[in-house]
Amino acid sequence: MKSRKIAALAVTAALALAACGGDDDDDTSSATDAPAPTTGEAPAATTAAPATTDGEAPATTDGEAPATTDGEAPATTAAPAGAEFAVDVSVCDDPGAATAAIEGPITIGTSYPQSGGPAVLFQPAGDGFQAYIDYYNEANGGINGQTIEVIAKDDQYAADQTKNNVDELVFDDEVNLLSGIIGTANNAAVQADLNAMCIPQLWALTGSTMWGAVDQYPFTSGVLVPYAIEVEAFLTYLQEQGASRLGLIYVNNDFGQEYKDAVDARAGEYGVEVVVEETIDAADSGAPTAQVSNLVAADVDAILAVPLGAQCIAFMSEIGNAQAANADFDPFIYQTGVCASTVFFGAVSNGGNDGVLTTTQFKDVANPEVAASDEDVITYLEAFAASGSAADPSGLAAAGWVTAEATVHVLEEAAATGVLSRESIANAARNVDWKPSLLREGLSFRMDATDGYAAEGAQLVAWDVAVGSFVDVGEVQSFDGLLGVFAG
Amino acid sequence: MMHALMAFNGSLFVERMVNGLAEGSIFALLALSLVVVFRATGQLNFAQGEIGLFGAFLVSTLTLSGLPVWLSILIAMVAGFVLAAVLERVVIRPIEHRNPGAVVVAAIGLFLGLNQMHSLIWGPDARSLPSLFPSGPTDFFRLFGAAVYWQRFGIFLTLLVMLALLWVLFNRTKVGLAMRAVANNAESAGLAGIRVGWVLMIGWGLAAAISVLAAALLAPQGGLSAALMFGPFLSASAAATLGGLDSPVGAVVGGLTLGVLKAVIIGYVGFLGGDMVFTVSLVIILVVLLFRPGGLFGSERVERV
Amino acid sequence: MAGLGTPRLVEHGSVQHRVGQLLLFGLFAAIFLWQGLTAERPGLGLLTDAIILAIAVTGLNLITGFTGQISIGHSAFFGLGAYTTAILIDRGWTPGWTFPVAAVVAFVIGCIVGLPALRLKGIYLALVTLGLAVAFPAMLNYKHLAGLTNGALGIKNLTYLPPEWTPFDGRRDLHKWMFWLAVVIFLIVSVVASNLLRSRIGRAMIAVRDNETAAAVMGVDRAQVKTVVFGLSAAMTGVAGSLFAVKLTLVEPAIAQFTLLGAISILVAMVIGGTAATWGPLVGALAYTYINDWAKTQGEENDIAGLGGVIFAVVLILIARFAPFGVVGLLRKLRAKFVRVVPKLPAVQPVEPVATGDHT
Repeated sequence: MKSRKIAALAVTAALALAACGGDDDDDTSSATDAPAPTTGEAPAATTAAPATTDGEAPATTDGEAPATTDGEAPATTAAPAGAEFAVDVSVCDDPGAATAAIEGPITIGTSYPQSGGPAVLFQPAGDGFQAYIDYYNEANGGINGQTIEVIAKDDQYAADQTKNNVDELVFDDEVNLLSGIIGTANNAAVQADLNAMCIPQLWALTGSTMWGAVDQYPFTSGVLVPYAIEVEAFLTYLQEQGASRLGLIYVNNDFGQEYKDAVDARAGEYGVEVVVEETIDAADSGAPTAQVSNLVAADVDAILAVPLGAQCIAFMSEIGNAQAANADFDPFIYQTGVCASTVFFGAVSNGGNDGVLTTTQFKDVANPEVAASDEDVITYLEAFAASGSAADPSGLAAAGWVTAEATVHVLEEAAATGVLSRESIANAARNVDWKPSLLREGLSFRMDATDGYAAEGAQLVAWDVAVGSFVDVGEVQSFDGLLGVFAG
Repeated sequence: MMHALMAFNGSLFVERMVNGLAEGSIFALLALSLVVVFRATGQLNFAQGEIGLFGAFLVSTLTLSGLPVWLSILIAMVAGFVLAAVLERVVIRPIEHRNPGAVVVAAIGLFLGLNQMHSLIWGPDARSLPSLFPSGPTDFFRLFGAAVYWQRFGIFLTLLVMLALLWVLFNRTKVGLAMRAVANNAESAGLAGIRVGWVLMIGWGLAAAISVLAAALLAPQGGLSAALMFGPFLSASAAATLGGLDSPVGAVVGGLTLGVLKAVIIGYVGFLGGDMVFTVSLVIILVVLLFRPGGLFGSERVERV
Repeated sequence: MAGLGTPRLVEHGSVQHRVGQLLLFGLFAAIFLWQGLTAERPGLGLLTDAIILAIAVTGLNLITGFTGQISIGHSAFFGLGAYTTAILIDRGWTPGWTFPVAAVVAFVIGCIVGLPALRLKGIYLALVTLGLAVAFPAMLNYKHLAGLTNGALGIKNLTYLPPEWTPFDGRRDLHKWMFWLAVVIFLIVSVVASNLLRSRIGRAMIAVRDNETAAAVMGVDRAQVKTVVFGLSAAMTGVAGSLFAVKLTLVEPAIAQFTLLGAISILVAMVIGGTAATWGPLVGALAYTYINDWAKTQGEENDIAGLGGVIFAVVLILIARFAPFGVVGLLRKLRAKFVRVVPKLPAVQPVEPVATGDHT
């Protein structure tokens, strides 16, 4: 019978391909294709690296692939701090495309959730992004006359849709670069491809530490304060306050996991011990009563909380209840910077938000005094209002604005070198040293060959119920250079 | 010291039980709405949680414009009733007529559509909802040393009231009788003169109204956002299964049990953690179903559906 | 209606019938070949996603379409296959070999799930499978299993490069490799599914669907049938998961396809296509994937949050309303106006004259 023959052919084919399947994928090509300045090549790639790297691969990296990355480019370089970074385009899929000058309108591609359930919460970031681009085009007519266009696709927060979107953006829409993609897994899904194709993946809108892989994925960078920095800031504060018993409560996804890992790694340095750990299910929309009861029972004097989105409101309400019912329950409470906005803190009505700490790198847009006196904030608010978005400007929309501004800055810097190309854009990003207008005074974005993270500073703030807004706690802290480079 | 520890644990236990019962009351309310729909129509309405969400957003808008909370909730319940009844008539009935299997797709479509429509109408940001009961941090009374919040206790009371009302409806009113007839055998009921169509719409409407109430009671604690009802609806389905899909009492028992189970697991079974709660609950339900396939209080005939 | 005339009757198994089937198959093959050879990466990527979904739906269709049992838990098998592949690749296995292993693992778990299916029916079975769908991501996150699954962070770098004997050139042609791999696997799975239907077990399955008591009377071993079919169904969906993992190059618990939402997508795609039909899964998967993509584009172009989701939902409801037996069902109804396939008529036996007695 015909069907049997087809089946036989297919089965043979299947067996054949299973048997011969990719012997050469032990070293996942993603890494070997990614431009790596110090894989035993002449230091022409690291142009400004001083004499210490004299034509040989630095001793620390030669042949010693770190255990987690099998056969991939080494993670750390021996180039000294402050070295300027330069990308190596010879290992790109198409070096010509990476060095070609960008003519005509500059197209930026992005992918983020515009529909599909809880992730719609992130949509305002896209609004903020577009608002800045529109404002910039109108004010300056583009960069050297080249207008900037944004093509935004909806990925419903699903990593596989992000991958498809990026494919469309790169192959169908032929964008020059990507910027502001939301979600850790979403960015991770496209990171290898984009780096192999030497297409800049700027300012991933997540605080994961993965975007600091300068050597492995130089075309990728992150824009939010890495979660590990937040932890660092809080731990510093706890040490100053003499608190040592920490309770951890976090959402059970990669977002929460990063905080936990950072706490586990760093708490000891500050004399802090994690005495209780609670998890919240990512889909749980109720109040975390049981978890908070456990925290109370464990007699902690500090809490680090990483709820997801609207769970922040529930958590703070629950804290309010717990504090009212237990007279001696008054720990220092820190909540993830993702919730650091009036949208979340202001929604709590029982005082549970009073004194809760968080960090932010942005100016307090919702504070009426700031909104009236700070020129940059005024500019932002006006432009955002003009964009017609229904979202609250003090939430993620501000992050979107900053991301766009950072993107444009990088484009300007790249254009200033004489050739606006993907290569120059990537270099400009990796060597950024500049302050976004909505960033707090005393903080800046800075990266170089040994510092893979731009946003390593934050202001610890606490919510003041009496005033109805955030109040600064201590000075702005900069941890610039602390995280170095992502090692895998 | 030991004595203090013991006393502390005792009140902590009470606190956990109360919180568990409160959360379980929400599950129970939603489970009740599932049971209502099932008893009246023999179907399950996937989109019920989202109609509840819709109602909660409506309450938010109404209270922001100045109406008292209780009135907003009542209006939203009526709106939910009407919406569900219309959906049943316009969307579900024609499809059920042709192929009951396709009703699943339609229900999922409703679920998606209603959920996404919220962003269209109210924007994507989360918002807060005022509570029906006193919800300040000091609005509690002490029971064996534990703080029992009026807000939580109020939900429990509401549940009991709703259960009583439904009992009266099903067992003492003509409408309730008609519903039971339709669910039992729609054809005979129609032949006996019962307006089957109306019964179906009322069933859906009533279930939706209860869902709106549940959402309006849940939202003040956790904030109002598009994902509000996903988890509770799942728990409610599990609760209704446990209790028996055609038993209101079963729904309540199932819901409360799940709530308490969650509190116990998080409170006392540390190695499982918050994420495994639902899994463990389902395993327990599965075990129960092995011995009583119709659920704890359900009638055997349900399993043949 | 009168103007169309009577539909033409075509006997099942006749030459005309076979030619018709071959033409249909040829049509699909031509479309796929055309796309496979000429499509750009994004277009081909989307089509590959649709085929992966079709494989998963074929698995679900085996259970639901032919035995009448509802499962909204197939996302668990999908994820199981994906994670099996991911874990093995992470430990150095050649990706190709992980596929059959994933199928076997999914088969075993599927049989285990199939066992309680004996005791539960209808809505209760559905709720148990729902439990499976919810439990699976929870177990992925479970900290005590994190040594195996890497918990919430997931496993990355799962690339399956085209082997040397294929005409594909490494990473550059990776999308083409993924496409053709998916097509081949779909063909295998589809052939297995339809052969199963015609086999002894297959006929038993249909018997079970239509009338459990009669099947018991006939001596069909319901327990064995249900269990094995569950296992096979799970294995097919599991392989789809493996493909998904290497196409996306990463797995993590938060991926929608591994959650209840994923199970619902598979179910919806199946119903849209039309159950108990050989073409149903493919048509349904294509419809689901492309309608979703189109709806999303509408939302993007108009820049309104949630618009895409509402459009998709409306389309689903319209399909349920106007094509309640799926697209294939609709097409069959249309075809029935012109051509109808009837079962083979038994050959007429000459009637022997009956010996009559002498009474009249």
